[in-house]
Amino acid sequence: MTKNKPLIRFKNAQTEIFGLVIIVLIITIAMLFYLSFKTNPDNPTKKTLYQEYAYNEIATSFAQTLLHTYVSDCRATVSELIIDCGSLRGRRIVCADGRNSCEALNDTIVYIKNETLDEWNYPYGLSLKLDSNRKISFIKYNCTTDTVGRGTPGVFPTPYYPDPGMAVLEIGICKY
Amino acid sequence: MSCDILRKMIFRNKIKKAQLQMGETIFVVIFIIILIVFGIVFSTNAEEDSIREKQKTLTDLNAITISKYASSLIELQCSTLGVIDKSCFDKYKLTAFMNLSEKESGQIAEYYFSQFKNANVTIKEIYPPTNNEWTIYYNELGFNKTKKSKMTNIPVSLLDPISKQKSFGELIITTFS
Repeated sequence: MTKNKPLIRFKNAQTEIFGLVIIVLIITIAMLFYLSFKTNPDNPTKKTLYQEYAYNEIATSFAQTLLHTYVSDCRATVSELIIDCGSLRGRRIVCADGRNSCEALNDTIVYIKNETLDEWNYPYGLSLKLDSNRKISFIKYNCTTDTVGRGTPGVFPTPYYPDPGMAVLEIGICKY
Repeated sequence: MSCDILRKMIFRNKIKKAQLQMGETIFVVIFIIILIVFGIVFSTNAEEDSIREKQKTLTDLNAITISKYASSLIELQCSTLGVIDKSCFDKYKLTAFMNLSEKESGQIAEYYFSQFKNANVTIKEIYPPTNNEWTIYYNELGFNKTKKSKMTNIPVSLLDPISKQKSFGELIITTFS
């Protein structure tokens, strides 16, 4: 009987330590669970509030402003150049420097795009579809219509009335 | 005699056992307190991230509010027969506003501070390529421009009311926080 006493004490100590280890493990696991729920990784396509506003504003304002811009050399707005370039009646506008409406249109869009969208360093997709065969498009940082995270594009149709068909100007901005 | 010695030995053993038990309890309590402290440190760090996120959202909201206000200033907007043209500024109104700002800079700053607060608002003509630029509000107050500023660029039309021609402009709003 006396020989068993040390063995029983030893077993008691083991049990106590084992209990302590279990408590520590439970607390550690609980903390890990808490931290894993608290610190969620960022969704790469989630835009901040500011980006959501800025990209929508830029997309719609850019297209509207571009269409109303007056090209003094050609004595016509960009919208009129689009109609002259894309419609079936042919190119009637000739600019002071000899360019036709399509050339002036391309030069104007390129210049404005370089000074604004490229300067601001946004990933964007800008396209002007004149008809089923002709399209002017610019893409920066692979921001295409299929890119995840691309915002709702600003879409502006310009009808060739009284001729059939219409041109469509579209600009979409992607998240960084 | 031997009984006394035995009694003393048993008593000493009991004291040692009690001391051991107390030591064990104290150790467990200290260990749990350390674990709780670690837990508090971790949760505080996690809260800090959440607070920073909220602060960023508030800064974004502030920038959006200022941008919305700047792009819809009635004093500068184009209008035709009383109908306001959105995203369009009148060049003559801009020039007049700048001249007034130079004369009455204190009053203008005080009037618009409630809306713009710490920000710079500038309008620049992009196409046709001129060097025309109008600064309608300027208040940096010693902020470090490179560190805590947010710049918003919004395309706007600039109307010449005499010729009725619109040029391509840019509204630049820089907010400081």
